[in-house]
Order: sequence, then structure tokens, then C-alpha cells
Amino acid sequence: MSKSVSVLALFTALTLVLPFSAAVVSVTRHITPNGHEFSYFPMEDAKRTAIAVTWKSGLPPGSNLHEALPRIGISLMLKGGAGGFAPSEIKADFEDLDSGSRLWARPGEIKGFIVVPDNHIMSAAHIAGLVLSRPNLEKRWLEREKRNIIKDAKARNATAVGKAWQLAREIVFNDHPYKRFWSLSPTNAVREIELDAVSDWHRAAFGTARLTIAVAGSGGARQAAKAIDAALSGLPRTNTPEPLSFDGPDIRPGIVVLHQPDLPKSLVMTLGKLPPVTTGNQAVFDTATHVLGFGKQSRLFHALRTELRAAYGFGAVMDDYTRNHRVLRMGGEVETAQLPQVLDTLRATYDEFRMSGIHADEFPVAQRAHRQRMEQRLTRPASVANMLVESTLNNQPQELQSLIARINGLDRLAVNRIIRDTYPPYDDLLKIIVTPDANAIKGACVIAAIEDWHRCFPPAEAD
Amino acid sequence: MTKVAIMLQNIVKCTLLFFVSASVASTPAHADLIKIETGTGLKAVYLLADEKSENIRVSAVILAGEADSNGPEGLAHYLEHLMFWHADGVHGSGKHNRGGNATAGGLITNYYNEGRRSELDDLFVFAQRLLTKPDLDREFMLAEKRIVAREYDLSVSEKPGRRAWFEMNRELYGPNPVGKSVYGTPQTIASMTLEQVEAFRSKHYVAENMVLLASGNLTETEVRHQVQKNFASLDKRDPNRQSWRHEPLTDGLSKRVEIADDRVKNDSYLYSSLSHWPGSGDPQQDYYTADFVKKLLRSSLPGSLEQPLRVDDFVVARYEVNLIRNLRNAVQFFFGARPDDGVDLAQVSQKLQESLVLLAQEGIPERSLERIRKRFAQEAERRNDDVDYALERAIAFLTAGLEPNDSADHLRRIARVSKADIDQLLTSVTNRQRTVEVNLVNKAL
Repeated sequence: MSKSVSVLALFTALTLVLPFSAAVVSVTRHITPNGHEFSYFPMEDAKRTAIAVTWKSGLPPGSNLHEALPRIGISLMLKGGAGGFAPSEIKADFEDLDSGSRLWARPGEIKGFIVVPDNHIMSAAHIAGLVLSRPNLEKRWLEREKRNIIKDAKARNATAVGKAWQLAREIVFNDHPYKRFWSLSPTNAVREIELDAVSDWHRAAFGTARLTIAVAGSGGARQAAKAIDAALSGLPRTNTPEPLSFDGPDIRPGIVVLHQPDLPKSLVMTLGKLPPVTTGNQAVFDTATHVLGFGKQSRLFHALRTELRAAYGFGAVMDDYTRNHRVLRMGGEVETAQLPQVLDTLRATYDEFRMSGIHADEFPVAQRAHRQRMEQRLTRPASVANMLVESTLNNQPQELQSLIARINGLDRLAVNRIIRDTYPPYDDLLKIIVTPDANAIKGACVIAAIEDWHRCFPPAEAD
Repeated sequence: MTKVAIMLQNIVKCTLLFFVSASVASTPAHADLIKIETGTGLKAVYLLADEKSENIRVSAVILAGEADSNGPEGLAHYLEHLMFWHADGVHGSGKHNRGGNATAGGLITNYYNEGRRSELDDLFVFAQRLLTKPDLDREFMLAEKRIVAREYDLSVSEKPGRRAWFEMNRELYGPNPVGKSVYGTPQTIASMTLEQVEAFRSKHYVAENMVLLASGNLTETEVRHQVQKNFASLDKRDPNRQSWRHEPLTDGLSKRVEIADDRVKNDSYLYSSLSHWPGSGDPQQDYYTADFVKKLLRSSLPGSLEQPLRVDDFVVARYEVNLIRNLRNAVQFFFGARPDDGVDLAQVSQKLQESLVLLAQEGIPERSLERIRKRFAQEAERRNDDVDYALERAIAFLTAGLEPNDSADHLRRIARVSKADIDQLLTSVTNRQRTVEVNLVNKAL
């Protein structure tokens, strides 16, 4: 087919009822003149258009590169200028467009988006194209980015929450390279990343042979197709390297106390496995986790702040380590003298939530609040474009289409059954406590250094 | 007249003004700020109508903060915690379809509640309860001090940079209470009494110090009805005059402090100055002038601090910069940075001063001024019907002691910012009267 025709094919049309109106719109599939497939979600009143892209992308095979290289490479691409233009020049030109952008790495993926007023979409796409395909990649900028990233990581790791995360990664990732991706460890190896390695990674990582692209906004599919081609035109049409295989986090039941005598406070973090995002039921898990630990009316906030008065805030969130591995995380900073009561209250609150689920008086409030959050997200082109990409990658292309209907259709008893069946028992959770009081928790495994964590999980003895 | 003459000399600006005016006239302003006369004692009531929104938000701003307290530091923040719980208990502690929060600043205290139309009565009762004595158990109120201490832990204790900022402000403002820390310290938090809290509340939490901002799918009639129903029978009290805003700068100061702390992981340089800045005589317009300079200094444009400090030369790895006008005749400049590798804190100080002096001598580049104006105007145009944008601006104005403006005035003032006013401000920043520099270093070093 001729490349002069901007939108070449309409694959499917999914209908979606927009919030706040009876209008029905369709998520449509298109192909750009250069052959990139994308989903398009029209948002008539948005005044802006967002293009979101995800590359499934690992490190070049056999390269023995540090897993954190994509984080450093992307930082260099974004800060060091592109296409021969100075960093401040290209940044100022983009800022002139009243536009937003982000490019970041996850294990095995690179994600990015631009969100632009419709009249500036081509200008923004050209700048994005320069950054993606012709970053300046200068040695002096690489050295600076490595220094800054390492300094930031060290500063983070020195805080109570940073220490809890470090310990958690040691336990759940053990020797898997994804630990190094998140922790930027060992720093010596990060410091040794060379410019040639970044260039090799860049050449391989942004191939366009298997991209997932979604567009949302008011600019129209035809204009979006041109912008996609402009943004991706300088990239090779190659396959990206395969991501590493990962069997999932190793979440071991138990309480590990990291004794830090100089800390001014204590911190509690628990981890437990949930079914991955790819299994669906997103509305159920979102609603349930919000009832458990989001906002002033949540169970955890009420129990640990309003009643026990032991924390400023205490909550629960779901972390997708990859799209095949999801973890429930509860936590907060708490008063050291109340640590035993905090754990008792946490157990009682979580057990009650898990066994009894959402109460009749909580359910309509939680359902309405969740619907409202989603409706709000559906008014923002960048959120919609990213949700479209995610639902495609999670093998649930119709998730967005039915989002509000699914929330409206939630049934309390069915939700509670899922909670009971999938949320792990309290005893199966890994509990990490960072505290200045080594004796705060009776029966816990107490360590003074993160690298001693193995002592808490001795290998089972042979009979 | 002078400003008008300068503006007329600038064809580009005039064209923009025409464009802006024309577009304002042709665009329905969904989220525009409307002042409502209610005949009650409230300082002011505003409506931000948004027919597309299913949610209604009632923000209640108390025009008093830590700067108005005579008690231990952090008292205004402690009171904010107590008043939120008191106001939120409209119908006891049961589940409700409302959400809300509160923030205590040094100068104002802002509460909000939001929910669906079915909660409309409770949203206004929430605001009304902020003007009543907290109906909370004494033990609960005392225990809330522990929560305030936890918030200090979360926000301050592991962040030496934030502690240094508070120390710096205390020195910079001298006896003026603007320099007090809203978080207090563990010692002041522990020392606070409920009697001190009540004395502060009864003096400042009065109708004359409260500004209500209602936003969402509401009409003027509905807002007026709710306000008259809930706020009609309040005793008349004296408003808070915030007289500290008009106090002159105290004597000159040039102080350099080294704070050594083992929680510092990366050495940092902090600098703040107070300069006499008479402005243009129009404080609202001065707000825009300062905002333009802030945008310039933070940008990547010629005339910014980014080019000389972070991009052309690797002097700082990152920096933040701010211009604040807490006092009517003065402007505070703040700069905080982490030096790049191999650069010492004295070099950062020297390069910063050189850059500021050069900028003041040369003035803002015309092209940079127009690019900032264009960016500002296009964002304002795009967010013309965005309630959050209007609300953020209104709160910022109240914090600065100014009356909030509507979107037409917003656009007019963006178009009116002049090179002369900006250059005068840049000169003021370099002619500082009081300066405090902090070298924040690791104790071990």
C-alpha cells in the first residue's frame, strides 16, 4: 500500500462509553504510513494528544552488561542533548511546546510517552525522534550521569525506607540480575559502564519490529500516524533483545529486623504475592487494596493511625515487579515504642480484611471512589494512552473499553471471595522492620547488616 | 502609564494581548472565579463553576498560619490536625462519601472536603465546623501530638536539607515571624498544650479570616444559600491583619553557616537573600513579574541559571531556585544545589553570584522574555476551564496576601509583564540586604 495514505487500515473498533456523558466512542486500530500499528482513542475535548510506546527490550545477548544500563542510558539520552543540538537548546525547544514527556525503563521493557497540544504534535514528535534515534551520547555527560545516579542511590539507601527496600530486594531477588536493576548495585560495576556499551545498548534496545503503541486525544488518528512515523523514523526496524527470564520474587514468610541504632524512627514493610495483572480482575484488586490501605478511611489508616495512634500514615499498594509478578506491599513509618502493638494490630486488621472482605457499608463508598478515580484518569490523554498500551500488553485489549462498566458491575460477595482466595495469609507475608530497637519484636530474626539476611532463612536440613 | 507605554512599544506583546483578549471573549470560561456576596462575616466567598464535574469541592482557607502564632513552633500545624478531625466528624466517624485533607503553611492554613452533590450539605458543614471549638476527646487530642511528631520524622528528621532551610529562614527574617518553621521541632511539639492551641484557634479561626472556595457543578444561588445557612449567625470578630507582611527589613546581614550532619549524604550549598523590592505599586502584577523571573531562572533559556551552572559548565549536578514575596516590600531569593563532582561549595557560591550579577547587568534577553510569555499564555489558555489550575492560583494568591483573580485578569497580567519590571526585580535580587549561606556537609568529612 502507498505510504502517502496516512491511515491505511482499520482493524477493529471497540466501543467505550465515556464518563459524564452518553457519548459512545470507539478504540480503533490503525497502521501508519511507515507500517507501525497503533490503537487510537478519540477524546474530543482534550485539546491534547498523547502517544505512548512500549518496547519489549532486554540487554544485547552475551554482552555481560549491567542490568541498570538502560536506566543510565535513558538518563543520558534525556539530558545530554540530541541531533547535535546542545542539551539546553533541545530542552528549551520542547518546553516551548507546552508539552510533557517521559521515557523510563522497567525490567525487560522501555516505556515512553509524549503529550502535546494538537497544534504542536509534529514539532514535539520531531524532537522526540531526535532524542530517541540521535542522542548525543557524550562521554563527559555519561560520566556525570553515572556519578549522579550512584550518588542518588547511595543517599536513598541510607534512609530507613531505602534500607528496607535494599533488604527486601536481597531477599526476594536473591542473585537474580533484576536486583541490580533496582538497587544499582554493585556501584563499582555501574561506574565501569563505558560509552561503547551504552551505544551498543541504544542501537539494539529501540528497534521498532515489536512495539506497542497507543494514542489518545483530540488530534485525530491521521495526524497521530504522521507523528508516530516522525518520532520513530530514525530507529532501526529490528527486533529488540529478549528480556531475561524471571521466575518471580521469592517471598519467604518471616520477620526480619534490621537493627539500625542511629535511626530516629522505625519502619514496617510487608510483602506478599498476589495474582499478576495479566490474570485480570483489575477492578477487584484495585477496589480491595484501596479499602485495605488507601486514604483516611482505609482499614490500615484507621487501625494504625486513628485508633492506635502509632503512625502518621500506613497504607497498602500493589507493585508489579513485571507484568507477570505482582506483590502486595503494606507499610509505614511507626513509633518505635509501639512496634509490637503495630504488628499485632496489622495482623488483626489484615486477617479480618482477608477473611471478611469489604463490609456492606464500605462497599458503595469504595466502589464510587474507585470509579471516580478511573473516570478522572479517562479525562487525561497521557493516562488513557498508557492504559491502552498496558491493557494491550496484558492481553486484555478490551480492559479499557469495559473499565467503568466493570467497576459498576462489581458484586461485593464475589469481590470478597476473590480477596479470601488470593490475598496471602498474614503468616505467609515477609515482614521487614527497620528500627533502632533490636529487641522490639520478640522471636524476630535480628540482623545488623543487610548482607546478613541469609542467617534469617537457613537452608532446610536434610533428614 | 509608564508600563502601558513600554507595552505599546512592544508589538509582539500587543499582538499577544489582542490574541489573548479575543480568545477570552470567545471561550466560555467554565472554571472562572466568581466572587459571591453573601452578607455573612466571611472574608470572601468564591465559586469556580464546572458543569462537567461530578464532584464538588469546598476549600476553606484560614488566613493565619505559623507566622501568627505566639506559641511553640509547630502549633498552627498541630491545630490543623485537630481541626480536620473535628470538622470531618460531621456525622460521627462512620464511612462517608467525602474525601479531604488539610495543609498548614507558614502563612495560611488550607482545608478541603470534596464529594458528590448528595454530600453538599456536609461539605459546607465541614467548613462551618472549622469555626467551632474542636469536639474531640482530650486524650485523643493529646495523642495527636505523637502523630505530629511522626510527621516530623517522615518529612524532616532524615532530611538535613529541610532542616537547613528552616534554620536559614529563621536567620534571614530575624525577628519577623515569617521565618518560623511550620513543622516545629520534637522539643516544641512535645511542649505544646491544648490551652495554647485553643488560644490560637479562638483568635484566628473566625469568619473574618476565612475564605471559602466552592468548585464543581454549582450555581451562585446554591453557594449563597449554603453559606447563609451555615455562616449567618457568627459573632463579629477582628480579622487577622498579618501586620508582619508590612514590616520593613531589619538590619543588614551576611551570614555563612556550616551545618555538619551525619545524615547528609551529598554535600549541598544553600543560599537565600532578602532584598528591598518596592515593585510596581500593583502587588498582583508584581506576583506575575516574580513568576516570570522564577520561570526564567528554572528554564533552559538564555538568561537562566541552567546554562552557566548545569549545562555549559558542570558546576552543579542539580539545583532549585525560588522567588518568594512574603513581605510587601521585599523579595526572598532562594537557591539550593548539589555541586558536581570535584566542585567545592565556594565555587558554587562564586559562580551563582557571577551569574546573577551578569543577568542583572544585561537584563532578561528579549527573546527569552517572549518565550516565557508564550509558554505561560498557552498553558493558561489550555487550562482556562481547569478548576484545579484556577484553584491552585487562588490559593497561591491568598498565601501571598493577595485577592484571587479570574482567568481574564490572569491572561491580561501575563501579557502585561514588562522587561523593565523584570530587570528591576533582577537588580533587586543582586542588591540584597540580608543573606544567609549554608554549607551542608557530612559530619564525617
